[in-house]
Amino acid sequence: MKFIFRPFFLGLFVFWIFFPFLSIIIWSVAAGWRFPALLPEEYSLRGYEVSFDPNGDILRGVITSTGIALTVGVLATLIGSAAGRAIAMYSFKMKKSFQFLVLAPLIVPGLAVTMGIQILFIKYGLSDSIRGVILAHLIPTVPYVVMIMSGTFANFDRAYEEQGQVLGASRVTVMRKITLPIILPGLAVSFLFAFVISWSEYILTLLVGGAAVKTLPMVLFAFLRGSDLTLVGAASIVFMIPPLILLRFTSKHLVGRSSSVTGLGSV
Amino acid sequence: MTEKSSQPLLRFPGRYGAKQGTVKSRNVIWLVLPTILVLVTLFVGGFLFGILQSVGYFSVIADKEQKIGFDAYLFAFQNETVRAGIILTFRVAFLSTILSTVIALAISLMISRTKRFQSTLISITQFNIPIPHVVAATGILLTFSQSGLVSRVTNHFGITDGPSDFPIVTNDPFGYGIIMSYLWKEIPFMCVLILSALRGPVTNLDETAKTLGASYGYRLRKVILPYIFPAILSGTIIVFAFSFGSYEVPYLLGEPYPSTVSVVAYQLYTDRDLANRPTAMALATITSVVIGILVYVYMKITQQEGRK
Amino acid sequence: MKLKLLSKLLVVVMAATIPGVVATTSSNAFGTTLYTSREWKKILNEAKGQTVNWYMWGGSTAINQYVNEYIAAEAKKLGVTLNQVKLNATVDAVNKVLGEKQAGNNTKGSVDMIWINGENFATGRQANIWTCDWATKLPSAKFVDWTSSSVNSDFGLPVNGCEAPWATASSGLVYDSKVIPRSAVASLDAFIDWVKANPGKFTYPAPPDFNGSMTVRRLFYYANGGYSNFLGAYDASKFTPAMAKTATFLNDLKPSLWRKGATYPATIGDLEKLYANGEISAYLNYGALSSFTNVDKGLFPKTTRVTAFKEGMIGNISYVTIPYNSPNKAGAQVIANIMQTPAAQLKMQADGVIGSPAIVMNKTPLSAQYRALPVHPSSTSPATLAKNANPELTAAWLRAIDAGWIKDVQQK
Repeated sequence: MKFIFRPFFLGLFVFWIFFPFLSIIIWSVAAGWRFPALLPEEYSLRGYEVSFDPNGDILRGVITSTGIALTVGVLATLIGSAAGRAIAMYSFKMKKSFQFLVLAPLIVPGLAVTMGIQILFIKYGLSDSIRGVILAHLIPTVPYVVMIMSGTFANFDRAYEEQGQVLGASRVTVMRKITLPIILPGLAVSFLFAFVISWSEYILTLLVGGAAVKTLPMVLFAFLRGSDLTLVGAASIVFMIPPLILLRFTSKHLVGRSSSVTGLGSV
Repeated sequence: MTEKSSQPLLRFPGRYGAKQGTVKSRNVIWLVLPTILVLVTLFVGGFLFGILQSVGYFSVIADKEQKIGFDAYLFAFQNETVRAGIILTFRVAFLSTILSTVIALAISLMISRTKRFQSTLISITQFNIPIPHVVAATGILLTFSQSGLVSRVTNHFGITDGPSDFPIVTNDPFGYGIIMSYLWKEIPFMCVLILSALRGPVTNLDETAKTLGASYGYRLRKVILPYIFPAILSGTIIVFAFSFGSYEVPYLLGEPYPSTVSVVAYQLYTDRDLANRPTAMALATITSVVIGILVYVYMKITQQEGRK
Repeated sequence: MKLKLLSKLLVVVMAATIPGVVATTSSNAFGTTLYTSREWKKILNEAKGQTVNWYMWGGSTAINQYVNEYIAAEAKKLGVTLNQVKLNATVDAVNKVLGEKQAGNNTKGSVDMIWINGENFATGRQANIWTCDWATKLPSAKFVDWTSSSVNSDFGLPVNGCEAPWATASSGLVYDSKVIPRSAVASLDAFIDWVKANPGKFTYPAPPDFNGSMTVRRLFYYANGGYSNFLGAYDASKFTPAMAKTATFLNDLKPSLWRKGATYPATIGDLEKLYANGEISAYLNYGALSSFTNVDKGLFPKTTRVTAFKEGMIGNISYVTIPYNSPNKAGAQVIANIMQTPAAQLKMQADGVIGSPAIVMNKTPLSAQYRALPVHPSSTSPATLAKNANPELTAAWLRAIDAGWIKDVQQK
């Protein structure tokens, strides 16, 4: 009995992970799939044609979203890593307040903050602009990076850096040749989280960017309110690809021996 | 809990002989300054401005009478849509958090005990992490709606008779669809956290205990669970706060009424009647405070347990 | 002698001014005064090189295609770039302009044009954020019947040249003829009887969705024996008993609705998904004349038909307005003008973009082509839907009815 217990539930789990994708994939190539048909009566690539139309919204959404998410990923990782190092390796006055400040955006809904700040964004010309959207996306992403990197730096042995300095290397060289390679897994995971959060963000982009900044979530949301499910399916698939590609490159660091995610496990 | 704050992880020596201490240095200000700038101006600023607007400042209706007061809060509490929304949100957030924690824990433990295919299983749990919530909601909607894939299958085999015969689990009053979508994303997230913790030094301790003859159940209670407890704590806080405050998923998988507090807040904020804006801010502030209190209480309680 | 010379001179001078007089007062067929050709030329020159941000509801693929392909191309010919900004709801654009006004941004607004009518237009008028005194002067306005009350008053509010019409939307009933017989849709009476006899096949989106609001309004008229009592300014003493009657009617209807009226789809898109999947078999839609495009895409059944009740359907006009702080007013006027040209209106009708023309096609050079347009089997002629048209009520009535529905029907 015990022998089938685990495989059964794990198998169920795996099925549960992949099953919802099935309907998305089928809808993306359906040319009419009315109930009660088990499979579409006809197939067509219309959904993908529209998705990859160079003048279309979806492709433009991909470009906008990619640009924003990459920028946010880099900025958040830089800003958050510095803070993560400070928390893990230094003691300073008001450290606990600082940690509280870093955690608070995870507790307070982004909607609350962005509704409040919209008036300032309009006043300073940041609304309806990509700059404003990037700034807004930093709010939910920086805390994640800080936590991940503080976990990484907690495992980091200062002795390596000190060795390098004793041997005469400059601070920059120490950072490049010694620190960076060791914390690279943490940086990778941080970038992944920051990118994915920015890539998926809808309500913050809607409030700050208005309808002028067209990211992919906005495009997909608009399709979802319509009745063309073929487009919804195709757009969803397009929407999933870049983050999955990124995951492919960073997955070994997610649950690996470097355990950078443990930083997240210590709120 | 003070040690927890300054040294996140440690109860056991870190790897590679990492030092435990922290250093005092004046240069630390440069490390924390960017974060402080970003979070104070955007986050704290936004939150404060929200509170200010909820009590009547910066009114968009350039009115003669700038009424500063807590009217918006009273109005929010008296509003039927808001009240129904709060109940729904609590229900959805609690259930999602509890279920995802329990299931993720079970799955993670099972995976950690599986020798074959372990790395494949771990890869599979990570698969959902980069999937945006909007896509997750789409998947649940297209699969479990009354005319979704599952309904077509059951209809084909005669189990149900037409779309209206299929149980209503999306856009439903209880919030089943919303919970399903949350679980689909949150279980893998928690699994990643727990699996990470499970791969730490706890494996050595576990091995030691095993050689000393302890049973799995005993090891689980006394060694493994206490060790991965911080990861679970973290995860549940993040998951709860997210489930409570999310907008996209409840909007797509919920009903027009009742809808969760974030959806209601946004509707009030963008309502044609501009007098509803302060109410929207009031609702957002109430939500933040509620989550904050719950998290605080939760941490206090679990710290008591942790001490035992 | 001198007198004769003088009088001849006078005649010559007067004759010389006639072309000028004619040029400055070119009136259209419907009595409004258009821009002179010099004024319009100035606008065209100013518009060259401008980019117009047109904020509009983006939930219809047909409309988006029409705007982004045909209208944008026509605008490009005149040197104007059209940038469509898709909205979930028009109120978002109104709020944006209001926000800019509040922040003191009076010259560099981000919104150049909004597809608008009804309540949203009224809100903007109240806050004084629309540019006025241009819409009746567009060259194409000579084809617009500005004397008609359905054009010069928007949901009961005088337009006053602050917005230009571009489409007429007469709501229609979209239904599956395989499920519902013709006789059951001939009148609203017959239809309600059919709904009660065949529960679960009809529903409407929850107000304040535009189409949901319209359906509730139409049933408000139905439950109160017509609309004539409610024209004009809002009157609470008339509203309260009328709303009570409507709520009773709608609550009684609940068991016969989809999901027993316990919930309603959130938007017209959700409603159409239900129809596409056969969960419901009929619904009311402002965009009923575009439903055939969904049939061609394979999303709707081929047995889809569109019809009007003999008691009449609600109709209104879609306008575009220009916010007061737009820096591209010339470009916006150029585009509004293009929208009203006979060629654009003909294409709009032929492609089933939305409703029917806002100009009087019979008075244009293209009237023959217009009359010869084929009608898709899953559609109907605009004239059918416009027969016995029910008017819209003023914005205050709308808000009251929507709020009344939420309180007395949805939250019951």
